[in-house]
Amino acid sequence: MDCREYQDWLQLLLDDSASAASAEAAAHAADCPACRELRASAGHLASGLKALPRPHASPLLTQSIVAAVLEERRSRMRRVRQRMAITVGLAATILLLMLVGWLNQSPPVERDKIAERPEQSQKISVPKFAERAGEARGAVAQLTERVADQTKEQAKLLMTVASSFELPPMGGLPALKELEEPLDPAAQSLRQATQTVAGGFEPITNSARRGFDFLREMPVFDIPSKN
Amino acid sequence: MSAEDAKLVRRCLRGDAASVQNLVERFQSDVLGLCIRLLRHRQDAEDVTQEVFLRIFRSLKRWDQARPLKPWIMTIAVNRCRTWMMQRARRPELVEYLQETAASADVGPTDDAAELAREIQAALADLRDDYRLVFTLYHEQGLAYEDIAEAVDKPVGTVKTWLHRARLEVLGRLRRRGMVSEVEHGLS
Repeated sequence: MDCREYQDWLQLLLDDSASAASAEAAAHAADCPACRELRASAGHLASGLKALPRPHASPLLTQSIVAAVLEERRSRMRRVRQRMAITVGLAATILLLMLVGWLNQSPPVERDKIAERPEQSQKISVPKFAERAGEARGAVAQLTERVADQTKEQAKLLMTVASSFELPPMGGLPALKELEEPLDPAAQSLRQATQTVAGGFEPITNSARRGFDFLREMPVFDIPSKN
Repeated sequence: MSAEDAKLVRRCLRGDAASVQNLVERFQSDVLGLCIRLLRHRQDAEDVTQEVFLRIFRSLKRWDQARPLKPWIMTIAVNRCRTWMMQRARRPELVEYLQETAASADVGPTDDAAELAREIQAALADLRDDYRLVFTLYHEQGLAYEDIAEAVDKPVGTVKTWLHRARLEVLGRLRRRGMVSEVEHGLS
């Protein structure tokens, strides 16, 4: 056994894991003063540890600890009770609200009626749209009628202008060049009248065309008969 | 002992004041002793002891009944002491008073055994915190290596190494202070 092994043995001895009656250790200690001294100091340490004073807690400390522990427990229980009361209160409130909601709920027949309402509203909206389409049709008819009246008046005007020209007798026909001069102003005014009529017709015909296009593109709905 | 501990703990959990007192009385000396050894200040140790017991009762439900109660309690005490020491290390003005209180704690009987005890206490006070912790848990609190390893959150090998070094340092101090004679005693 060398010094290192002796120290290990000494540690085991202090652990109460080795026998003090080791022949090898005794042999080494006999030859090694340092290890012998270490062994002696280990003995002192062991006995000194037994003599170490144990601290005594004062009764005041004990009471203080117990009081603190019990007080903390009481406050914890209070918190738990408060939390439980809050939880129960919340649960009761939710249940009450659910009950009130259930009681206020409509009976199944009513619910069925409510479920049918969207269809009804859809049906109701169809006549409204059809009415609007009818109105549009009426408007277009009125517009057409107005256009027809205006056309008639323009035609009358045209006829009046045309009737103001009287043709000379066929036998004494003047030369073409002679005729051109006096006819020029009349022809010019006729051309102007035609252009005016055509210009007057243009917005009316455009509006009429748009109205007919709208009616043509409009979807067809079944209009329920009113009972 | 474990079955008895389990009964005591169950009564404490039910809020039985007598059982609470019983448990406190049973372990307060151990806890206080460890706190005094680690903190080296009686007042601090008492404050920490109270905190330790509050924590013990707060987490008593989590105690594994299959295991002994004392190592579990000492683990809580160790953790609380370590936290306290860390907090104290951040306040350097408080370190000075430790020297005074540590010296004043040495007053006691004057016979050889008491002198030896004082020397050991002084040697322990000079030890590194980790060494002092494992030395105290092993030699004063009687915990096994495995329990110490769990309490200090280190492997058993580390604990053994720290304890062996702590012993050698204490033995060296005893020799230097002339506390060693050729006559062997204690270990036989």
